[in-house]
Amino acid sequence: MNSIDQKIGRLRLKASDNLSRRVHTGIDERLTNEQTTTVLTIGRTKMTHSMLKLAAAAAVVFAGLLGVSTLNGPHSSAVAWAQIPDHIQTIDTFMFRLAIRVHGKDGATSPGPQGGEFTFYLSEQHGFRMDIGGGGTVVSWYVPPEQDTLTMVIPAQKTWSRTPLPPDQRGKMPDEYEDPAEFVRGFLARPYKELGRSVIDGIEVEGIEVTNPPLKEKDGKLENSVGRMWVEVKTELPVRIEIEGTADKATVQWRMEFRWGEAVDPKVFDPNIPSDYTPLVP
Amino acid sequence: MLEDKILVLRFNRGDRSVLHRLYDKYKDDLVTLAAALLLDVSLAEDVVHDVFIAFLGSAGRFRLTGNLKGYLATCVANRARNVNKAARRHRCTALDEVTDAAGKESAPEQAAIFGEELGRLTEALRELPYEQREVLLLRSHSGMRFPAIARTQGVSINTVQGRYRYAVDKLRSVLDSEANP
Repeated sequence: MNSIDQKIGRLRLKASDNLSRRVHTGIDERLTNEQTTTVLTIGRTKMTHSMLKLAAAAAVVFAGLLGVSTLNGPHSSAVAWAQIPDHIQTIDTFMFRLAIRVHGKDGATSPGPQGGEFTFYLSEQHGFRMDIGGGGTVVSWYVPPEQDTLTMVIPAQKTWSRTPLPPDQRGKMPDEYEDPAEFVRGFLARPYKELGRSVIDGIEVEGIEVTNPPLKEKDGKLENSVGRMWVEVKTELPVRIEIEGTADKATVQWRMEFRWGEAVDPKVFDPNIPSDYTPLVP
Repeated sequence: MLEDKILVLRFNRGDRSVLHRLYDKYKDDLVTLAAALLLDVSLAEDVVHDVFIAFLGSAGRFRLTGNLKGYLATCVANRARNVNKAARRHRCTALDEVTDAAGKESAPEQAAIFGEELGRLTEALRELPYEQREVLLLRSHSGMRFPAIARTQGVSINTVQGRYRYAVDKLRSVLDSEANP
């Protein structure tokens, strides 16, 4: 990236309130006039739980690290790093599992209030599922694209709930979700070094390493952090991403592991609630 | 990335209410792009408004398969190009002399649209032929690739790459000469 590109990237204007009013009113008027029937939506999940916020932040970090590979090439390695985002765009289903560990000063490892395990399943065709693990319990959230609902299932308690999502929350990802492009910009100035080849779970991978991956303030601040991304040589898709840094004198480790496309069973998006589960009443 | 995929899926299935979210997500980027192309904030906002209203009519009869932000940037660039041409025709008729939508007589005011700090850059952008400015902004601001820009402008990739190089060299030259008069 040359200095002119960087200067152009600094151009910023905010849309005026007047324009926003005009556009939103224009859209509403057209939709009202045509009495459009809309049934295909995916809702904004209510992510008030701190674990969920953390998980959403993890999704951002994942996307941000992909940005590294987009913009810092070219390199001599076999992996065409710059093509990975385009490759991912062609895949409509993927999952990743995130584990966060916090090591205290005494060396003890604990999920703690900032740790935990999360699994995300994302699909254009099937919707969104998020499993939150902690304390021996897993809570699963489902948001199918065909319904305006959020379904929660707690297998350990044999309970479930289904909540309609208000119209103003439809079509939105959680507030905590951020545009990966912003993270890509943040990575522009960060060089990476190649780690060469390795093997993860029998898969031949190639890795890169960046220092201080950019995190937003609200996602928590890691100091002296290092991020590593490992990509399968054969498919050129991420297999594992690791980030390690310090926060409040403790060591924080993030590990994300991925499955892509056909490796994700579409059945995982179906809540498939057993008949002996009890519905939770709001 | 994921949110865009879901929004596109819903839009392609006829759910036009997602345009509210699309607008909120990309409004600042698109207004910035249009303003940098036209060097006029008022015209830029009209362009973005018209793009979204026109977008409404396309649900259910077209399929979006690529990058959503790139697609919206292309829509803005196409409409801004038309606005610029119309403004040039109008000014040519009225004044018989003008270079682009933002006439030089208003340069000091227009130079400040991105703030005083970027005033020199804005002024330098004004010195570029419109086609070069468009390539530079679509590439450097919107992150589009040369083949996509070439399709937008209806020219070859080599032409687009040439316009980009000329634009970068010209801007660098203008900015350097102002920094070291």
